Amino acid sequence: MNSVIARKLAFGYEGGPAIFHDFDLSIPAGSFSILLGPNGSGKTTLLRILSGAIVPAAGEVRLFDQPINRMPASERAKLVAVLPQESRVVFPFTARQIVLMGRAPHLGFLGFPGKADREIAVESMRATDCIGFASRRITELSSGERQRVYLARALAQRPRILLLDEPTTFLDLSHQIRFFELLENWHRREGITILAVSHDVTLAGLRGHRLILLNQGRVAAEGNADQVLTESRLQEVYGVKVRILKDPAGVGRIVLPP
Amino acid sequence: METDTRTRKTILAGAGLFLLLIVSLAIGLSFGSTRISPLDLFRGTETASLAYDLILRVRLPRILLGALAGAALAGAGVAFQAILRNPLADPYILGISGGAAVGALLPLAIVGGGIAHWSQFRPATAFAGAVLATFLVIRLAGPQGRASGYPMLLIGWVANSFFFSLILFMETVLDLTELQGILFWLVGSMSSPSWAALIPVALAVAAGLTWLFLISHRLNLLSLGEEEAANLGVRVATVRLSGILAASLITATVVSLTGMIGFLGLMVPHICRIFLGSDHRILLPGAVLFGASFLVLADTLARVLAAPAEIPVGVITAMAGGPFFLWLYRAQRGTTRFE
Repeated sequence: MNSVIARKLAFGYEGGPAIFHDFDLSIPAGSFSILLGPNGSGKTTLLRILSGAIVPAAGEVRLFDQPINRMPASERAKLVAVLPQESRVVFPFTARQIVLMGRAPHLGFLGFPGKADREIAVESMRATDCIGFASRRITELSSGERQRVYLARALAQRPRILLLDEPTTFLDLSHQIRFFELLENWHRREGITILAVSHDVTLAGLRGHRLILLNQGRVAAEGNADQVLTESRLQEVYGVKVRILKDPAGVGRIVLPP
Repeated sequence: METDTRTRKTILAGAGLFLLLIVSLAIGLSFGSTRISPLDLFRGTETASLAYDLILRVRLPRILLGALAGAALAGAGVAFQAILRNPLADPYILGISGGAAVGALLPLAIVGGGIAHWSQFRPATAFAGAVLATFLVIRLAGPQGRASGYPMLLIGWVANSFFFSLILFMETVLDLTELQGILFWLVGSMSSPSWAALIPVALAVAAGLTWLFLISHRLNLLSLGEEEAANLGVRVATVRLSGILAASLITATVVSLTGMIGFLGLMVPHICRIFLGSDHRILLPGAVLFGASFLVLADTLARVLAAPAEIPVGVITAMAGGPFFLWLYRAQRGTTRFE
């Protein structure tokens, strides 16, 4: 069973070159995949197509075997949550208000959250360790705190698929690792499908996730770290010579600069 | 626990704003260029009939118009700020009021003065003007999230100058005696409307504000950005368009009776945001109440300050709003990533 299937996708931004042509991808239900690839390889674009934010020129996306373009926005939002790389909030909502917005697709027309929704929001904030600043304004929080608030919002949304666009870009090393641990806990607990765009081949190679390597709008390789992270393939894709070590503690691979 | 104190604070703020509106209306009724207070209604017969005429026929409709206009402009300000993700947006600053004013004048300019029933269409053409101006500004500023910050304000400013000159052009070339003086449209001022003129305004403003309130939690999501809102289940195009139409409708309705009253739609939402927070379900009704009180008080000042002469109320709001805008501009630059 696949939770995400993209079939024969074609897409290019207006006035730009084609990014995808005849692109196929399937993501097994309940998997935790990391989408790797050089700048401009189409990672973010792919994520936006899979979330329904942009409509491909040809081909289709199916989530749990339902075509995404025929899903009403609220149904889609119950199925898939997106964690943006960085949200640009203009108005100073409190962290709690932001997390409660994750309940939006589950609410009625007037959008008043009930007791159960508030409990889910609190629970999500506990899980991501941001209950302590629930009443603070999102605009005043640090990047690490803010990213935890957005993860709590995604949790509160109770999706079956979570898409993340370079979620750890603005985080320091300890926050990066803690963020991944939060994700992994959630993944284990709920069995949701996670697809995260990342630039960090080292972190990606060590945490035992499924890897998808994208290059010039095509899947160059997918599978385990030892299948995907090989010296010849990385040189071909990134155009730079790297050395790869076996993780002494497990099955992972460590990518070293030349 | 914390949500409880928050709810209590919100109820308290709501009650306070309601009280402020009652007090403002009372003050508005009590003061004016003639020294007559509502208490005179209950004095000797001669003063009572004079007071009756003055207070119920002249002051009351004008105060109600002030409250309606203040409520509408504040509500439209909240809506435009959320939809355009621009904390400095306001129907006046973006040129939307200007578009409405041109729209309101156009039928007169085309058909000429003296045809009385054309004035009935004024709100409709003002609405068309406001909608056109809104889409012009959005179109030129690019999709939300790209050039929604300062470029949008610059475009609004250009649109405003253009509309101002169109109004002056119509005034001078067509020599419209029916216009109540150009100042009326350019600065915004109030007169005492007839009850018959007031009722459609009240209905349109009530309808527009009700719709905005119904979509207010979607405005929360929309203010995060269109893509994020869509990811949270909002039908972005529908909410955005209906919000723009509702906000344009109430702006245009008000402009067709009062001309362009500036900056209120900027100041009131911001002051309210400080006390009520950013949740549009609370902010919108709060700003509507505060906007109504604000304009009634500003209009009272306008009537009293230079009595028996009258200062256009738009002068009062702009004198407060100009410095406020500059302060806000500075504050925005310092704190948020607003570009």
